[in-house]
Amino acid sequence: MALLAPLFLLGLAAVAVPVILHLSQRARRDPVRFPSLAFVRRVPFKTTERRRIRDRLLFALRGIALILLAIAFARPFLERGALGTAGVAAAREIVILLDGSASMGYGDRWSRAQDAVRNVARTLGPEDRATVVLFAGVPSVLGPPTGDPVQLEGYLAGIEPRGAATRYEPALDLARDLIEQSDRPQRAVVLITDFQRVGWDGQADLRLPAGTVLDAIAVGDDEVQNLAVVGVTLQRSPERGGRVTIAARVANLGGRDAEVRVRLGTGEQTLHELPTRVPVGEVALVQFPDIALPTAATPGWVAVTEDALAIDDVRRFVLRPIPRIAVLVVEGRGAGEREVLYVRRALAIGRDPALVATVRTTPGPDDVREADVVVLNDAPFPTGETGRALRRFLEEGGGVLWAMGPRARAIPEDLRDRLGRVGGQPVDRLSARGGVLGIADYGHPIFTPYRNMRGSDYGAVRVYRYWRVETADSARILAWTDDGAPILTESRVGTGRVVLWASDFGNTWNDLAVRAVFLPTVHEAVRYLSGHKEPPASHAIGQMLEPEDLGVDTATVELVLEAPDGSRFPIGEDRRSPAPLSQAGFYTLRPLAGGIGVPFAVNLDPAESDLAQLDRPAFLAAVAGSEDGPPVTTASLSLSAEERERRQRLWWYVGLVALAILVTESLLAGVRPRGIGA
Amino acid sequence: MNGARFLDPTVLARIDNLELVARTVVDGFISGLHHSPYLGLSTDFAEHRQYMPGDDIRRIDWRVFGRTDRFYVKEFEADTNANMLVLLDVSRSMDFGEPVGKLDYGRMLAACLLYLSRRQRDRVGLVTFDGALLDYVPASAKHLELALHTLQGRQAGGQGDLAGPLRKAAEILRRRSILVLVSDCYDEPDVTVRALAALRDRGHDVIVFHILDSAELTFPFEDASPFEDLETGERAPVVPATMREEYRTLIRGHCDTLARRLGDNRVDYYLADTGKPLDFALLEYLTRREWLARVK
Repeated sequence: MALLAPLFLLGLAAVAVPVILHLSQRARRDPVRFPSLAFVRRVPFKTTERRRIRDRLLFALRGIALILLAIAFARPFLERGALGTAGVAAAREIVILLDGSASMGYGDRWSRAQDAVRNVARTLGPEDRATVVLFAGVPSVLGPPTGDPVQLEGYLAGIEPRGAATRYEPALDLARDLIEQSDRPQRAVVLITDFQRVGWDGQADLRLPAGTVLDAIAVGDDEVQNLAVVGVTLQRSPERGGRVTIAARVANLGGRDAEVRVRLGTGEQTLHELPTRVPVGEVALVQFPDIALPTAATPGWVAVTEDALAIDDVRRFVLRPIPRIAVLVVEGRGAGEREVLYVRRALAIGRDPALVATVRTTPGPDDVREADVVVLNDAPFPTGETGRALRRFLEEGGGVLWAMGPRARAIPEDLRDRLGRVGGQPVDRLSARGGVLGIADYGHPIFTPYRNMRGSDYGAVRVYRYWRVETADSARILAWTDDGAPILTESRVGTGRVVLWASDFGNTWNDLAVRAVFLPTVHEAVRYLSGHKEPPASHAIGQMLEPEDLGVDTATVELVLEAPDGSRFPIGEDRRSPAPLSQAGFYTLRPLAGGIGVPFAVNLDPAESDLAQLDRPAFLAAVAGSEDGPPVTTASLSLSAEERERRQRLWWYVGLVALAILVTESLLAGVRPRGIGA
Repeated sequence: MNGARFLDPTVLARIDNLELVARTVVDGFISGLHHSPYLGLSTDFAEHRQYMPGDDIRRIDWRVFGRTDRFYVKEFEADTNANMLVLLDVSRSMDFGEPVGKLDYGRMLAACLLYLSRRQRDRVGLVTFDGALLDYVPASAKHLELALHTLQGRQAGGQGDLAGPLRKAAEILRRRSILVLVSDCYDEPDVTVRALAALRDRGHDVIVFHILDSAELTFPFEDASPFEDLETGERAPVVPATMREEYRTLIRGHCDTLARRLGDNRVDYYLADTGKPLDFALLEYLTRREWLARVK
C-alpha cells in the first residue's frame, strides 16, 4: 500500500480537534460574567455542552470517518495489486521486454519506455527478480536477473534504440524461455513497445506460458508525422567516362501532406537539392541530375529535413566504378563471320558490368591468365600450354562458357568425369523441324532475368542439331531438349565452373542467337562464370555481413570490420563468421594488416519507418492465448503511481465507507437525546 | 478644552463626586445649546386665559383688566415646581460593562438628570431598587444633595425585578411626577410594560432610559467559554461565534419590542449605550420635559 498524496494524512490531526476542544473547554475555569443569559439560552444551543463526548460510539464513528477521509484524500493505492491477493508475499519472475527498435527513437518514446521500466523496478519486492530484455531484431538480455531496483535501472544506462526493425517473435520466445525456466510462483512479462505493425505478421506463435501475467505498455503515438528516404537507386552508365543517375524514393508515412527538400551528397558535400511534395501515404520519386562516377568507392547519401524519427531521414549508399569483366573469346578455326558474329556483338554491349572481350583463334596461356571468363565459341578445348593454363584457370575458380558447335567435337578425356562425354554424330532434328528447348532449372543465376517469367522465349527456341551429352554424375542439367537430351549443363572443375551448351551460338544448329533471350543469357552466364557479384547498394541494420557479398575473399586475407562509431572487430576466428551490422552509417571492411578497405553503407530497414500500429487486441490475444492451464492475464505492473492510483480508485471506496459511517453517525445521533441544556 | 469631552462617560467615570460630574455635564451641555435652557420659567409667557374660580388671584393680569374690565390670568410655559424622580435599577446585572459599567453610567445619568431638573426648579427625588425597593429619597427642592449622596453610595444589589419595586413605588408616589426609569430592562417586555403602565395610569410621566453595554448589544466574545449569569449565578457553556447573530437578533428584537410597547402606552423609551456620551440622554430628557411643559 502506498499513498499518492501522503501530506493529506496531516488531516488525521483533525481527529484530535474535537478532543482538544473538549479538553480545552474543560480546562477553562474562568467564566465570562454576563448580565443575563436570558437571550443566550434562547439561541438554539450550540454550546460545549453539546460537544461533550457524551456518546463514545458517536465520537468513535466520527473519528473513524475523519481518519478514512484523510486516507481517501491521501489517494492510497496498492503497489502490487496486479498479481492478485496472493501476490502480496509471493516471489515474482518478471521479464521486461523493452522495444529497442528504431521506431522507439520517435519523439519521446524512448524516455517514456525507460520510465515504464523504472516504474516496474519500483514495484519489485525483496523476493522478486526481473530481467530486462532489449529487443529489436535479435533480443538481448541486458544483465543478470535482479531484484534490486537500482541495479535494474542501471541496466538502462547508455542504452538507446538500436535502429533495427521490430520483431516481436524472437523477444517473446526468449521471454517464454525465461519464464519457463523460472521456479518463481508468479511470473509476469512486461512488454514495453510502440506496437509497430511491422513487428508482427499475424501468423507467428507468440503465446506465453499459462498463468503468466502480461503487462503491455504502449508508448506509441496516435498521430505521427514521418518522412523517410526508403530507397535509392543508382543507374550507372559508361558514357562520358562514367556517369551515375541517382533516384531516391521519399515516403510520407505521416498524417498530412509534406513539402520537403531532398538533398544528394557525397561525404560532407551537398551536390544537389530538389524540392518535392509528398502526399500522405505515398512515395515520391526524386531523380537527381547525373553525376560523374568516382574512380574509387565513395560514400554518398540522400537526405530529407530531419523530423521526429531522424534515423530514416537519410539513406546512405556507396558509389562504385563500373566493374570490368575480361572475357577471352576463343573461336573455332575456320568459323565463318556469321557464326561468331552473335557472341561478339553480345559481349560488346555489356555496360554494367562492362564486358571487355578479347577474341582469339589460338589463344596463348597469358590470354587465359588475364581473363575472368573464357568463352569457347564453337571451338575445341585448347590443347598444349594453353589447355593446361585453362585447366589451372578452372581449378582456381575460373569460368568457361563452352558452346560446342560443329567444330568442337569432343571433351578432353581428363575432363569427361566432370563434364561428361560427347560421342558419335550430332543429333539431327532438322527433318522434324527441330526440337524444343526446355529449361530444367529456372533457379540458376543464368536465368535470373526470366526467373519469374515462366513461358519465356526459351520455349520458342528451335534446336536442329546438338551433341548428345552423357552427363557426369556431378554435372547439373540446366536445360533439356524435348527428346530428353541435356543440352545445357554446368559442371565443377576444381573451384571453377564450366557451362556447356551442346550446340552453337551461330544461328546454325539452333536459332537461340536470334531470340530475345540470347543476349541476357550470355551476359548472365558471363557474369556468373566470372564470379562477379555486385555489392548491394546498402545493407540494413540487423543484417549479418557476408564479406563475400562485397567481393572480398575471406579465405586468404584476415579482415577487420570498422563500424561508423570507430569500433573495430575482426571477422570471426575462422574469418568467415558473419558480422552483425547494428549501426546506421558507413562501415569499412579492411584487411587486418592494413590497406585499402571496402566501404559499404548500412541503413534502417525501410519497413521500420512505417510507424503504423498493429491491431493491439489481436496481438495481445495472440500473446495471451495459452494452450492449457490458467490463462495468461493482462494487467498493469508498471503503471506510474498516478496511473495505478487512478485505476484502482481505492480512495473512492474509502470515501464511500467514510460516507456510510457518517450517515450511520447521523442516524444514531438523531435517535439519541440531544445534549441541549437550554 | 472641548466641553463635549466632559460628556464622555469614560472621562466622567474618573470623577468621584457625582455632583461635580452632574454640574460639569449639565453646564457643559447647556452652554452648548443655542436656545435658552431655562424652559418653563415664569418669564416665558405663553397666553392669557379667562379667570376661573380657584385660580390664584396673583396671576390675574391687571393691565388687561384695566383695558377690558375682565379677569384674565397669565399662562406660562411650564410649571416650575414639578416633581422629578429617578428610578435607578441597581440590580447585579447593572454591574457590567467596560470601561464604564452600566451602574456607573446610570448613576452619572441620574445625577445629571437630577441636577438638570433642579436647575429647572423642579423638586427632585430618587428611588433605587433591585428585586426590592432599596432607597427612597422623596422629591423635594432640597433633596438634590441627598439624592446624589445616595447615588454615590449605592452599590449593585441582588437579583433584579421591575414589577415589585415599581408597584411599590407607585404606592408611595402619590403626587404626579416625572419618573425617569434607568434600567437594563432584562425582564420580559410584558412585565416591564405592565409595571410602567401602572405608573402611567396614576398620572405620572414616565421616561425609560434602557442602559445597555455595547457588549450586550454586539456580543463580541470569541472564545468558547462558560458564561455566568450575574444575577442568578447560573452558568452555561457558550460558543459565541456560532450564536452571535442570533443573539444580536434577539436583543435587537427585545429593544424594539420595548420601544413599541412602551410607546403604545405613552411611555418614552430611550436606548442608552454606555459607550455613547451622556448628552444624548440629556437631550432626550429635555426634549421630553419641554413637551410636557407645553401640554400642561
